[in-house]
Amino acid sequence: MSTALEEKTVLCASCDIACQLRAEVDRGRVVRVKAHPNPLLRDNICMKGIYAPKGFAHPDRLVHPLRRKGARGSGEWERVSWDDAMGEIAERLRAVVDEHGPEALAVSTSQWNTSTESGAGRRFLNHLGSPNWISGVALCAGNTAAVNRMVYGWFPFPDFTGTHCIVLFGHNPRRHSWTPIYNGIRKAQQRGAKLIVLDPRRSESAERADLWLPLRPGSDAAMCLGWLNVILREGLYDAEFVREWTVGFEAFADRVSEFPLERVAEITGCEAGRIAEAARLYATAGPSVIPWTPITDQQRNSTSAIRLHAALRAICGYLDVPGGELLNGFNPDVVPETAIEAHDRLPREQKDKQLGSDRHPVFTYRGTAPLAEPTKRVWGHEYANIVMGSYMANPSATFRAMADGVPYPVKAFIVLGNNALLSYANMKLIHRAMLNQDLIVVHEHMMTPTAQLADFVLPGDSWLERPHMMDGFGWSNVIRVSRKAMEPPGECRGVYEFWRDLAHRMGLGEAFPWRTVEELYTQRLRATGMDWETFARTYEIFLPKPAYRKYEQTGFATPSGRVELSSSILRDLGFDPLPYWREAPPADPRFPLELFMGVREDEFFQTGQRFIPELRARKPEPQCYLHPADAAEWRVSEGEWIDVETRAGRVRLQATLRDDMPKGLIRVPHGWWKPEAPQGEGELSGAWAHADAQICPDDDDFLDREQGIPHFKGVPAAIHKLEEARA
Amino acid sequence: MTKRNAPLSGKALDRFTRRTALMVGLAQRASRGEKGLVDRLVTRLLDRATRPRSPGDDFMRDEIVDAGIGFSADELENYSRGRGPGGNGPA
Ligand code: SF4
Repeated sequence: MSTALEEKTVLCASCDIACQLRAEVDRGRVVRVKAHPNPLLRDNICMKGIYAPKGFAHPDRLVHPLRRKGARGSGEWERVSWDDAMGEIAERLRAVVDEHGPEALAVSTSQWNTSTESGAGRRFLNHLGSPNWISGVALCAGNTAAVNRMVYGWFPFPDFTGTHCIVLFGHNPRRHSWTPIYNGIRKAQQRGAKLIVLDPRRSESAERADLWLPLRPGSDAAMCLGWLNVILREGLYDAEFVREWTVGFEAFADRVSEFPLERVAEITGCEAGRIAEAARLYATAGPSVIPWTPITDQQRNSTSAIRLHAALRAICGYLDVPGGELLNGFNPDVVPETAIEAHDRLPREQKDKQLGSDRHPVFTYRGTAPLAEPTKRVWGHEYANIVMGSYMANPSATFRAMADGVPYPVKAFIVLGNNALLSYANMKLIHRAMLNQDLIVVHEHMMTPTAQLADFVLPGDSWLERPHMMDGFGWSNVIRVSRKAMEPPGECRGVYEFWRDLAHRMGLGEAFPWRTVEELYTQRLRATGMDWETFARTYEIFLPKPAYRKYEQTGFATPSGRVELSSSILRDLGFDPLPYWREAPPADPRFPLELFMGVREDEFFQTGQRFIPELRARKPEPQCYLHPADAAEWRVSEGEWIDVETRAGRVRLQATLRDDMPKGLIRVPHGWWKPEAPQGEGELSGAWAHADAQICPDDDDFLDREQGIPHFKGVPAAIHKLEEARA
Repeated sequence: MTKRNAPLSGKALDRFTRRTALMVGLAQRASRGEKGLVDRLVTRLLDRATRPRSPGDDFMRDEIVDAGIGFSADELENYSRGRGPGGNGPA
């Protein structure tokens, strides 16, 4: 007779969505991960979550601390104890800080998987005195959060449950990617909500859309200006809201008037009539949403485009109303992670040293400083590190400082749950930066290309092996609970333990009074009157009371207290206070095609999971998509290996012909390396052959001005058959 | 001129907020870790209310998810030691 297995509630961190799931435990091992039985969470699981137990049982998983023996990247390691590793790391970090100052330490995390750290990493950095924290969220949601805060003081959360219309700017949630968002969108469609999709490719979402606009890659800002032109000209906005709650409307309307539909049609490649139709649908359907999209995050005009999304939401009156875009704020009963990060401890002169804040300040301390007082006034805390995106150094500037010592040297690099070498633009620069370090520490599950260049590789625990209290990345105010479902294998440890141990060894122990992460959670929960264990037993999801139009009581958390259509912050930082459109540099005849980079495949999240046999079997090779007509023109056939080249470099990919692609555009998958390929300098497990970070340029032509993030959507490119490549 | 479908405000919004608060209360009960009788009843109610009307409406059905994929503890143990299919660690 079979007995029911013990079940634990867990939060999946195999991607950035954090589905609440159930783990079945047999003899101390998680043997199955399945959807949570709560009707509100039904079916929210994808293949990455399902195969996670297999991934975490991988025979090559790192389970002991390793210290580099040979030259950096030689692949020669020796096993050391945690105590020896941490002792030496602290000693070497101390030497770097003594010689170059605390700002000579940079930290890169993905915040997922090995790195759910409850603010501990920032807390360590802030007490040590370094402002140089970077993350992939600089290119993905974190930057969007920072830009949204400049417009109306928070990053809104779409209310799919009551919305009338959903607008996807290139975003394409699917059954196995961004699963709960896919679920929310399809449910809304079943209720009758309209779907507008703007995507150069006829994506799965485009197939289901009421309106599909195949815009040119990277032209989101121009498209929004076109929509606004229609909405303002035809009076389809919420005039009362605009009058009462916005500043800069007249100047904004003047800027919008520079973009008549004919001009927008020319820039975007879409028919003027269809652009107007979409704008009218959005503005008149009733409360509508433009959910966050990784596509708008990664464009030359990203700051303007994100601000224009924000402006659309505001002038149509969709902010903080049912079915619109909710400004949630913090959960009133739980100390937010941002408070644990202790940004107030970092002295002003150290904040001023944050790399990249001089040229590209939007998501740095400098750019967000004017929001401190308004954020305290409206949301009760000076700092609001929503999606970890509001107090970051600029990644490219950080790697330049690491590589060249300009404007000052960065000589120690700590990387947690993040394959940094493959996760930002300009891999050659990152590689050079890493070779110029006195100390690199990587906390990981697998020997990634980044780990291969480290001095110390520390084995990280997984989301099945630790407790977690999730506050929706500070974005939603719903608190969720994840229980430790099994013991970590070998000597794997969590990031909280890592930071606490390092803090104690560096003389910062007082900043980490909590011996375990559970003690920290108990501290954060004190207003509920429960300790972590009681809270986790009582609640799996802890929901605050609903409230709408809160701004009518508090105003918006901006310097003016209103929605800033013309940004006082950007003006004071020396930028155009109004959103604008910036053309691409003149065409280069060597690169007649365009690339759409950063594409997520269902099987993998970023650079992860390629070692899980069942997932890899579904997608064994890095494939780029191109239209059959382009393939014919370039004499490329299905399955053929080709080199894809930009002015930054080349990668080798397998051609896949797809008639849902527009002619002239190639889609390149993100984050490829091959865990089975030879490790160490030379191949770096296939990263030099396949990683798209090599072909992402990060020079000024390709950087958004205000944020300094690279343009990934529409990069000029060429393709080469292998015999040409070899010639 | 095209008419806008305006968002809720005033008394209608107050009524909606009260209704939503009730729904949140129910959702909270359905989300309790250790469920009492009322919690279980509420969960059942919510389950019924949120189930797709017909199998054709159930866009979340999926062969990988519905296969109930899992592993045995021994299989994972052997795999982690490099003895299972796909394992390449030390035997
Ligand atoms: S979408 Fe998949 S990988 Fe992401 S959190 Fe959900 S189950 Fe995990």
